[in-house]
Amino acid sequence: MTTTNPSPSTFAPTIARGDFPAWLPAMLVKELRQGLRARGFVGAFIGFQVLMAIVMMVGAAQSMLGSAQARALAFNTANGFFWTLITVQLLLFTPGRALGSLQLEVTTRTVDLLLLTRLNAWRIVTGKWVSLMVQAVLLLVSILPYGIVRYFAGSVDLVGDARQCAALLGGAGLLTAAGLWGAGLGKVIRILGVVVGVFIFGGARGAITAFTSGGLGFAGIRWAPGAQSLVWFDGALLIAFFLVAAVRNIAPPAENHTLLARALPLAALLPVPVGAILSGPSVAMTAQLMFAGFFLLLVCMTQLASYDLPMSVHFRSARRRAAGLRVFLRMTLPGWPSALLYTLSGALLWLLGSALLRIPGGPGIDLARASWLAMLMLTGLIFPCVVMAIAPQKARAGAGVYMATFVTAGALAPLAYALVSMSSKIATLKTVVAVLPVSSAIFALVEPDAVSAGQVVAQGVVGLVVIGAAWWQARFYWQHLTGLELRERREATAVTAG
Amino acid sequence: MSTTVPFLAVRDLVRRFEGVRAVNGVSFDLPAGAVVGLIGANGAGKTTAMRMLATLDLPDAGTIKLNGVNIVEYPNEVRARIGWMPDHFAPYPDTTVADYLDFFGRAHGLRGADLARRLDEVADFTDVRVLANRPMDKLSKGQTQRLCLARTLLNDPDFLILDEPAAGLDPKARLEFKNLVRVLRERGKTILISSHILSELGEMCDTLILMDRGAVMHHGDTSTILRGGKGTTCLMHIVVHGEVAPLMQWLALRPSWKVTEELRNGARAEFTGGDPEGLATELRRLVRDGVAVVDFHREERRLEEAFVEMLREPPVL
Repeated sequence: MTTTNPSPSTFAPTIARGDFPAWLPAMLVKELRQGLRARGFVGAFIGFQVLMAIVMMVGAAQSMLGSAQARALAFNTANGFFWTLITVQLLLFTPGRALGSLQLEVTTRTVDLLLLTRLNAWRIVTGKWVSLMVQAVLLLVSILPYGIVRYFAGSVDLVGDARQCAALLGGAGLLTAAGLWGAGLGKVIRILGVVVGVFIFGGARGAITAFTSGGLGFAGIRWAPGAQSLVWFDGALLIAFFLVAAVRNIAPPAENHTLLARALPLAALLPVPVGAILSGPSVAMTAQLMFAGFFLLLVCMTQLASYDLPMSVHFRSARRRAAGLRVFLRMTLPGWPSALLYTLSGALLWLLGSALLRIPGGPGIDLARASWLAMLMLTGLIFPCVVMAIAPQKARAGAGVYMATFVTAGALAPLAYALVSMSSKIATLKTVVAVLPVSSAIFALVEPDAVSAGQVVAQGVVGLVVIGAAWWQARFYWQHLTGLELRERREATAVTAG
Repeated sequence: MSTTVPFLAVRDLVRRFEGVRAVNGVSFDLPAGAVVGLIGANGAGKTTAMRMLATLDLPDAGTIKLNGVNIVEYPNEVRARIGWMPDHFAPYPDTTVADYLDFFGRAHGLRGADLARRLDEVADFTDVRVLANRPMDKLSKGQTQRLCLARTLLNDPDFLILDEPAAGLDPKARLEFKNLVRVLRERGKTILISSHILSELGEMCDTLILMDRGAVMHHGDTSTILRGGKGTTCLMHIVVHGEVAPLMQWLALRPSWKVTEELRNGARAEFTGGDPEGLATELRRLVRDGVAVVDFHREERRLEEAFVEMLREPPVL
């Protein structure tokens, strides 16, 4: 091998001490360097400029030569192009690039090389997300001068436009995070996601305009005071949720990201007591409680569907902690038994939130009904774990068994409705299905007043049986954990003795 | 750390894929500073085993300890010490060679002057400095492999795992690569290399591990394997002056000899008589019995022959 003499260092310009990239995370620097050179970015940048320049010139010519009507048409055309380009860029182009970006790392296995450095899955995913958002902002900023030029063609609400841009950026952040998560899914699901995304895109502009102007976009409904701030807060939590989901797709088993995933719905619950204490119960707080409930449901489902077993590295940090903290850290381990503890605790916290909103004079929540609903939800969430535990070992990988059980059990409710509507002779079918896991929760949501006292008792019994069975089946997990702890302790003792 | 602890200790490693045991109870130790070749046909389990050693895959059973640290349970503690060069290399689009190495240097936590120094070292060692501003997807196979090795060396790892590093290289690039491995060995790196080009492994490696159907068939030093595995068999090349017939008759009468090839001026024969002393006695007798021997020497088997022969034998336990 020949050795080249160290002539003026070819690498030096990029690594000078104190250079700008030295201040930024490695993954972000790499993604920005790659992204800003990519044909997609450069092409979009030039294309948008050319298109807007042409639209503006045509508009200016029409304004100077034409009538007032022609001037209005020119303004509307320029306005339409301006917002369409921004919307396409932020809500289609950027999330699409996110989908391709992480997928490429996974399919070419370059992600293996990244994970052997000091980068972990979280840094990889967030590096990509931040880079894509920076590129989106750069493209947006490059088009903004045309937005100001529109001012000369007609009346432009600069503050309103800025709010719309911010809302579009928020939407782009959410969809880009969803795109990064989607990169780890199957091809068919990805294609379906893109098709659905394109359809949603059709209504996205209207929804964002309505949101920034203080309405819901239909039936003249206005946002409750404080609700818009909560939407921003919840949007940020959803972005974090999608990023954590993307991280889980690429993270090696030794990395444990369950703590953040499980903390997010609890963070969504946080504004409820704060709001209730500071300003009393309100519609916004009730809506937040509902959102936190659905968010908790979603996260619990994803966590309970995992049959992973903890590794020593996951609880190493817990070894020297106080007993109380160690119990808490047991709720942050991968695998459904740990998620079971978390689900029960989460449901309890949600009920406490409900109780706080039950202040006389407020919009109120029926605590008994909320508890009953929480119990049915818990039964529905935990029942697939019981099935998963008795399923063949090979079938447990992935969330297949959990989701299939959940969907099948849930499908019994509409099926019973359909059959009973065809023949009243089998009305008892509905009575039976109304006490089964998952479908009982659907009945409770659709027809809360149609459930008899006997059915409620039966639902309670079914719930206790399901939770008890899951608790019993979770023994293997805790025994595995104890075994790992004992081995660790033995090895530590041997090292000390040696 | 006690000196009795092997640098790498692999015990009863098992990895299943959909019911098939891709790696089936693999155990071996590697001393520090050794260059070890991993040989096996396609599907023998080499890459699966290497991925587990590189902490990129989890075994279903078994332990791997690197300097006493269980890397199955604590992969993050040893990753900085491992250099992994996969069998395929996907270049990043829109990235130059300099940017690529710069990124991986930063990803390993290097900054400023340390990063510059390390980049210069690996760029000179692997001769990629001249490629610095080239897009990495426009490199030849040999250049790509050099870049890949440069990336692998950035964190100055103790343990290098090279999966098929010479695949697709032309003869010149192969020679260069062999030289690089030689230098790395001199620098005290422990290297595990897999390759289909067995003759090259024979030249580069101190020890060879032969894998078949997920199991270790043989594990021993290269010279022993080339001389005939257990040392009980050796191949002799005997040259005579004049007629070959007396030699052939003599060999046919001796039970410890088996003619493998009759040559124009002699024969190639396998001696299965045991130790070197037995062989010396036989050669003395050959001369004493009047065969006009002008030359005899021990022949090494080619690694391919040794590999095929060993596949017929039961695996080591």
